[in-house]
Amino acid sequence: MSYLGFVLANLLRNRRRSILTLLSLALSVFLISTLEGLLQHVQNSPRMTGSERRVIVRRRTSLQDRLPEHYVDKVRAIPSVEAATPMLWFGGLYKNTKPENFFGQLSCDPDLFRQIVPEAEVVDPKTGEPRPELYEEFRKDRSGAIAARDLFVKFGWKLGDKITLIGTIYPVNMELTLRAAYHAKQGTDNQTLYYHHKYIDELLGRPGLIGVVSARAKNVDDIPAIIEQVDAKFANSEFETLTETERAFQAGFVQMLGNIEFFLRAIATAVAFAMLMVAANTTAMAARERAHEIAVMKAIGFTPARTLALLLMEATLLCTIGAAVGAFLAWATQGVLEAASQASVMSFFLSGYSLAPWIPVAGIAIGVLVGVASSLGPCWRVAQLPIVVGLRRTA
Amino acid sequence: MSDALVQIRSLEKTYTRGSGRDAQAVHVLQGLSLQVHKGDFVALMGPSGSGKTTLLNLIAGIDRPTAGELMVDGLDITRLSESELARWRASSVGFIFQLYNLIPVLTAAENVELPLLLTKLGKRERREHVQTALSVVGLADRMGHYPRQLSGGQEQRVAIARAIVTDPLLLLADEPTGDLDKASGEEILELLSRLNREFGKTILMVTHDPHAAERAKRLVRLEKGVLVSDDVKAPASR
Amino acid sequence: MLGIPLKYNLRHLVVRWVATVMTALGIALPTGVFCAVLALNKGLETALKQTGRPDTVVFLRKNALSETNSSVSREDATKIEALSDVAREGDRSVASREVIVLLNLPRIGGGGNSNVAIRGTTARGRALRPEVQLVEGQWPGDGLSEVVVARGIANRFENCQLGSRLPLGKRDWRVVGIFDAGATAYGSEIWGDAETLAGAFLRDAWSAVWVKAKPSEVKSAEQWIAAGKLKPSMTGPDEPAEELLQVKEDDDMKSLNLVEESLVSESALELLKAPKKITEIATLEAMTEVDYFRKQTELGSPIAGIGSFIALVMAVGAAFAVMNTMYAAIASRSREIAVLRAIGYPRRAVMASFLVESVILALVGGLLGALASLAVNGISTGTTNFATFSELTFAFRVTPEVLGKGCMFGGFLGVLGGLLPAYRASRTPILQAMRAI
Repeated sequence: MSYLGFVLANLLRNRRRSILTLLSLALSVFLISTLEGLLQHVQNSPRMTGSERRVIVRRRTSLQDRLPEHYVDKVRAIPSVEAATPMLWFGGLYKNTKPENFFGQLSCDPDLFRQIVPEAEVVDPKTGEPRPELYEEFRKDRSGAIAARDLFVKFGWKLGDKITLIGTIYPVNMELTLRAAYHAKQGTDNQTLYYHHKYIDELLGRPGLIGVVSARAKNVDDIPAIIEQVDAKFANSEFETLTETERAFQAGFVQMLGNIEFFLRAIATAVAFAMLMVAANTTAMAARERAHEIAVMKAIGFTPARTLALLLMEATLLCTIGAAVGAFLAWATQGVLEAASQASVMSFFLSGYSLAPWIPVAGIAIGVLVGVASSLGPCWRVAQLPIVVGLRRTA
Repeated sequence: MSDALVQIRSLEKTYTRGSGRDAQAVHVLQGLSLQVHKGDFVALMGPSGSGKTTLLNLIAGIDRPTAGELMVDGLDITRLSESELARWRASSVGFIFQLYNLIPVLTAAENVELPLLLTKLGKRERREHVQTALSVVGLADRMGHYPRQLSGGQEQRVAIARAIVTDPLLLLADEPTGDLDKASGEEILELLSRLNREFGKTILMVTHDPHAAERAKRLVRLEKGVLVSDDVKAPASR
Repeated sequence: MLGIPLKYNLRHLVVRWVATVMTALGIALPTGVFCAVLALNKGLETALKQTGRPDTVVFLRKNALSETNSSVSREDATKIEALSDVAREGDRSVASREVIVLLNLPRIGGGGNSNVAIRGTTARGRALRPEVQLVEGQWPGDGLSEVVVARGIANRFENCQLGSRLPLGKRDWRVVGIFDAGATAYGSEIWGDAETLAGAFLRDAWSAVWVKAKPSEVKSAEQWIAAGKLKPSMTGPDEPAEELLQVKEDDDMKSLNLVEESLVSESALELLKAPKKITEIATLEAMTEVDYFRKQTELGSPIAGIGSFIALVMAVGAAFAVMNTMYAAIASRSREIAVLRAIGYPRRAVMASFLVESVILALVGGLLGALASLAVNGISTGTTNFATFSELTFAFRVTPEVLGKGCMFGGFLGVLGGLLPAYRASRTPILQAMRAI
C-alpha cells in the first residue's frame, strides 16, 4: 500500500458522495471552460485557414449604407490584392419570420468566390463528399445558389430545389435554384447561402450598389498596407470606406451584443464560487465524519501535518478528476453546442466554435486550485482536533 | 530508579467542562506518581471517572498533563511539540483500543502496514514486518480481509498486530476485551501475556474486568485521580 | 397523516449549519444567475413592450419588419397623411414622416462599437411621443445640423454628450440637447430634423410614416374579435411564406400584424387595413406602435439564451450538491429515523419530512440568490436589437415576479436534490439502524 492507495481507498469509501461531487465539479469546469471558449471564439478565434488573408471594405458611416459597385474594381486594382468580390446582404425571410429560419444570404462574384474563400469545399449535400464539379453548375446558373451543407441538412433541401427568399431590406423576392453545397472545416461559417451578385443587381433594377467588398490579399503581411491604401483611396469621396480584417469585422458583430466579456466572466466567477462551495462542503462532510478515524491515525503516530496532507490529497484528487471530466466534456461538446445554437441568432456567433487547447487545461488548473483552496479550512480543523476529542466522536 | 521505563511524578490533569460562566474545572488526576519497569505487565483498574484512561492517554502522548513529570525511556515527553510527539508515538508506542479502530476501507494487512508508512522502510521490508506481526497474532491467513469480514476478536488481533508492528517500547491497551465475548477476550489476554512473556513487551492495560487484571503481573488501582494500591503479583501460571 | 414536526428539521439545519450554509450558497449562486437572466429579459421586454400607444400607427414597406429596412416614397407618404382615419389638428393631419439611419459609434471606455439609430423626426413626431422629454439643452432647429441624444446613449457612447460634435455623414452635427424617454425604446436613439438628415444621407424616400388615429374606442385585438370587428385570421403574426408573398384579391387583409392581447383603437384598426387603399398592390404595411415594438422581442437576445443555458447547467450541479448534503444528513441520522419509525411514524412521513427539509434548505438558498440579484437591479446597459440592428438600451429589472421565480427555482432544486435521499431515508431498515452506532 502507498499513500496514494490509502487516499484512493478513502475516496471510494462513500462512492455516491464522491460521484455526486465529481459530477458537480465536472459541470462547473465544463461551464467555465465553455464560457471562456465562447468568449475566445467570438473575440478572436484563431481561424488560420483563409480568413486571416481577407479584408472587408464597408461604408464608413454604417454597414447599412451601400457602396458603389465600381469600388470592387478599384480594390482589385491594388497590386497586393489577389481577388475581390462584391457582397450584398439580402436578409430575406425564408418560409416565415421565425428566427430559427434565419440564415446568411450574401451575393458574390461566382468567378472569384472560390479564389477568395478557398476553405469552403464544394461538397455533395447528401454525403458531404467533395464534388468540385458542382460549382460549375452554380457558376453557370444566374439564379443559382451555393449554400452551406448544414443548411441543406437543416431544411431538407436537395440539389435543384427552388427556394424563395422574401425581401425585407429590398422590395423584391429572390427565386433561387440550389446548385451546390459547401462545407468549411475552418475559416468561414457554415450558415450562409451565396448567390450571383448580378442576379440581385438586375432584380433591383441595376442600382449598381453593393454592401461590402471582400478582398483576399496575396500575402498575409500585406493586410495592414491594403487597409491603409483602400481607405486612403476613398477618403474625402462621396462614399468613404472603413476597411478591416474579416476577423475584426466579425468581432464588430459580437461587440454589438454589449459587454459580453464582462457578462461571461461574471458568470464564470459565480460558477467558480459555486464550485468552491460544493467542494468545501463535501470535504467538510468527509472530514467531519472521519474525525474519529483521524484521531486514531494520529494516535498511531501521524503528525498533524501529514494528516492534513493526506486529507488535502484526497480532496485535490477528487477535484482534479472532476475537473478533468469537465474539461473533457467541454471539449467533447463543441460540436453539439454549435449544432444546438443553429435554431437561434446565436448560430452566426457559434459557427465553427472550437476550444483552444489551453482552455480545458486552464479549466483543470482552476479545478485543482479550487480543490485545494476549498479543502484547506475543513481539513485543517479536523487535522488539528486534539486526539482525545476526536476519539470521543463517533462516526 | 533509573531503570524505570515510565517515570511519573506528581502528575496532574485538569479538564474544563462547559464554557463561559458555567465552566467548571474537573481534576481528573491529582498528583499521581507511578513507575513502570521494562518488561512489566501492568493492569490499571478503578471505577469509571477514576482517571485510568486519562493516565493511559497521557503516557501514550495523545493528551498533555496539566502539571507534573512524565518521562518515558528517559525522555520528557511533556516537552515535545505536537509533531515531535507524533513521531515519538509512531516509534515508541503501540496503542490498542477497546473498539479496535481499524480503518474500514483498508485490508487487515494494510491496517497493520499503516504505522510503517511513517518509517523509512521499503515496500518489501514493510511487507515482511506485516507478515511477522500478523503471524504473531495468528492471522497470517487473513491478510487480505477487510475489517467487516472479520470477527470482533480477529479485529482486535489485527489491531494488536498494528500496535506491535513497529516494535515499540510500550504497548498501551484501553479495555482491549471490553467489547468482546468471553472466549475472544480470553484469546486477546493470552496474546498480550505471550507478547509480555516471549517478546518482553512492556504492557499497560486499562481494564475494569478483574479476570483480565489477573493476567497482569502488577495491579494498580486508581480512585478519584489518585493511586490507592499497587500490588506486584506472582507471574500468572499457564 | 401524522407528520413529523417541522421543528425537527429546522433544528437539524441549524445544528449542521456549516453544511446548511455551504449548500444554501451553492443554490444561491445559480439562482442569482437565473434571476439576473430573468431581470435582463424583463428589462429588454420593458424597453420594447412599454413603448407605444394603441392609436399610433406606423406605415412601413411590406415585410420590412423594422424602420431600418423600410422605405416609404414621398408620394405614398402624402397618401397616408390624407387617410380619413388619421387625426387632424386644424387642417393638418397628425403625422410625421421620418427617416432612420444607423451610425456605428464607439462605446465609452472601450468595449467596441455599436450601431445607434438616428431618427430624423419632426415637431409633430415629438408630439406623437409625449414620453420623450427634453431634460437639457434644446430641440434641434429646422434645417440645422443639430441632434438631441437620449440620456442612455449619452452616458454610454462617445461624442454624444451635450456640446459634442458627432461626425455624421459628411459633416459634424452638434449635440444641442439630451432627452429622457423613460424606459421606452426611444431612449436608445438620437434625434435630428427629418428633412436635414434625409438630405445629408441622400435619402429620397422616408423610412416610415407615423400617424395618430382619430380618437375612438380602445380594445384589445381579442376583444375586437369578440365584438365581431375583426376576424381571427386577420391577427396571426407568423404567416407562412405563401401568405407573405401573395396578396389574394378576396381576402387581402389576412395579415394585420396584430398581437392578440395588445390594445388597438377602432380607427387605428381601420388604418391597419389602409395599405391596400394606397397602392394597387399592397407594398406597404401598417402596425400599431405597440405591436411594432412588441414584435421586436420575438427575436430574443442571444445573451439571454446563453444565460439560460448557464443557469440550467449550474442548477444541475447545485442539485447534486443538495443530494450530497441530504444523503450525509440521512446517514448521520439513521438511528433517529429508525426510532421515529419504531415510534410509529409511517414511511411517507419520514419521506415527507426529509423532502421538506431539503426544500427549506433550498428555499433559503433561493431567497439568498434572489436577493443577491437585486444588486444588478437598475443597472443600465445595452445590447443590439437584432430586429432593428441597432443599440437597445435597457436596465436590469428585478421585479417581485423575478424574485418569486428565483425562489421557486431554488425550491425546485430542493425537490430535485432531496427526492432520492428522502426516499432512501424512508427505506431505512429499523432494526439494523438501531443497532448501528
